[in-house]
Amino acid sequence: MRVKTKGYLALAGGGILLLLIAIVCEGDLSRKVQGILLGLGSMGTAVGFARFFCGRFEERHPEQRRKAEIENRDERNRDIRFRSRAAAGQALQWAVMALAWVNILCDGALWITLSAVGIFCGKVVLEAALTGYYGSRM
Amino acid sequence: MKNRLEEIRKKHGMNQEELADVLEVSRQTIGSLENGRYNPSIILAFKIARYFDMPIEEIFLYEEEAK
Repeated sequence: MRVKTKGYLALAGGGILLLLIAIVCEGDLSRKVQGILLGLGSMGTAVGFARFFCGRFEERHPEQRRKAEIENRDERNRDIRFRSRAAAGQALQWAVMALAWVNILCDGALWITLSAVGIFCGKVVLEAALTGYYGSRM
Repeated sequence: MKNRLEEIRKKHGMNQEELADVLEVSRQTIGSLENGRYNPSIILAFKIARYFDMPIEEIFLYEEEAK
């Protein structure tokens, strides 16, 4: 666990380093590179510190950690998570299709409609492939 | 599927929290099982049966759905 928290601290340190580079070398970097550095730096800092402090908290409160692990492994909670993800995926799939229809009605760009239909079909194909994969494993 | 989990748990003088702790599941799972809102996996059903040292069919009562 300690190695893990140190890793997260290193991630946060790396993030701060990237932010510093982006700020200090502002004139020498193109806006694109600076944007990427700022984005990666912010993400690394936020994720690193958040995970580090969560890890430290769990180290000091092993009972809380055990509870969190049980909550995470709990079969009903997993079932709920899987169902929610499936329902969200389904809702998103039809929202994308609705976007395609709205785009057609608004006489929007063709690439938007084609992209939306592509995403819809991609999801259907992926779902069929995963159904086959899990079917062969179970 | 009906079950006698609440009755058996109370007979053993345990609360939901304690049973959840022993079975390494959440307290909500025990609550849902007792209310009949959730059917356990076969693994959890075996864990429960072994913990109370009872056959599964004495705890979980399978009833065919009315056609």
